[in-house]
Amino acid sequence: MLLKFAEVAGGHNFRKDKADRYRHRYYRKGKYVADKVGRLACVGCGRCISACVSNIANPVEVFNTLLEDKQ
Amino acid sequence: MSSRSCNTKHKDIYLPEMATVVKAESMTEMEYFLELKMDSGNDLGHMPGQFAEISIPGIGEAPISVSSSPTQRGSFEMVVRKVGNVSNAIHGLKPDDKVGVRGPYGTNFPVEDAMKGKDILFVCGGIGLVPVRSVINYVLDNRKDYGNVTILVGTKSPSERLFLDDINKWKSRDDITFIETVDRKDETWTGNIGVITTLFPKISINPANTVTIICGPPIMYKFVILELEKLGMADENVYVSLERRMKCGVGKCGHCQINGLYTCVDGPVFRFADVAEVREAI
Repeated sequence: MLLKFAEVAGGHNFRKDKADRYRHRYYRKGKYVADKVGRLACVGCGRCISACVSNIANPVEVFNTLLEDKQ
Repeated sequence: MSSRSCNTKHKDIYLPEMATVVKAESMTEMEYFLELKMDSGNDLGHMPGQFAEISIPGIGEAPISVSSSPTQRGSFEMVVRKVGNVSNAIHGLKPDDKVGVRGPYGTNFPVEDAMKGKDILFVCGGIGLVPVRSVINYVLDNRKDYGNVTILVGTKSPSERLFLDDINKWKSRDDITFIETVDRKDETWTGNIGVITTLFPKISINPANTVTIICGPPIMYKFVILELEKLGMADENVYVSLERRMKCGVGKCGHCQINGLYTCVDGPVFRFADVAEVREAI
């Protein structure tokens, strides 16, 4: 979710908006790597859960909700 | 001996090979030229458009484009802009200093397949010329394998122009078209002024038989591709080299992801048709 993560030399940022970075976090941990290696890439460290006071970044809830919606 | 050290089949992908600096000099205020030689005596073995991870002990590692053509044997060249810890340390290198090298990595421009026999249009902005110089010199060293060659180069200001020796050579050849422009002139500049798209009215190409190579700052692609569409060029014949912040170089860490694509293994050279619809790509 760090602003500079997708910044390149010259200062252009491919994920300037928080929403883009949030989206990328879930696609990255839940889709791109999962498609490649067959399992979620979130290791469950819990740092995002404790950092997010409004509790919208709990990956357990996000992934479970997505999975339930799919079924 | 443990079984691990006997295991020669599985080469450690993070283990660099050592190389020695042959030549090192400032090219502009921000860019530093390096010629490197592998200590093994082998060539780097790259193709035009690929990159390698350069490491300096105690500082770190960074992915750097190879700027010389593989037709140059015995050593390879890189140009590094001063932007971070590793690139700043690279600017302090002197001949006989050692660096670590991993690679070459990534995809290359299709010099041996899709480009063969075709007219080639090169569009380079700023340090986009660094990787494309490898392709240009490869094409020129195998000149008979390709059709008309047109090279467009745009730079911010005359003091930031790179590879002046190469540019003078390209300018003096009558079997290629070379046009250059700068965004802002100074008192020394007598050539074209304006962004790179202002050069398009000056060229004549046959879009059906041309392969276009684009490399430059992110903002440039959008506008150059608009010009190419006006000319009627198909997305299948356009190749772009994309920049992302890379780390591992081998498709593990995911730092350079463009959605599901890894710039380090699926790129840095992409066929534009394959990324035109990918979110965040261009």
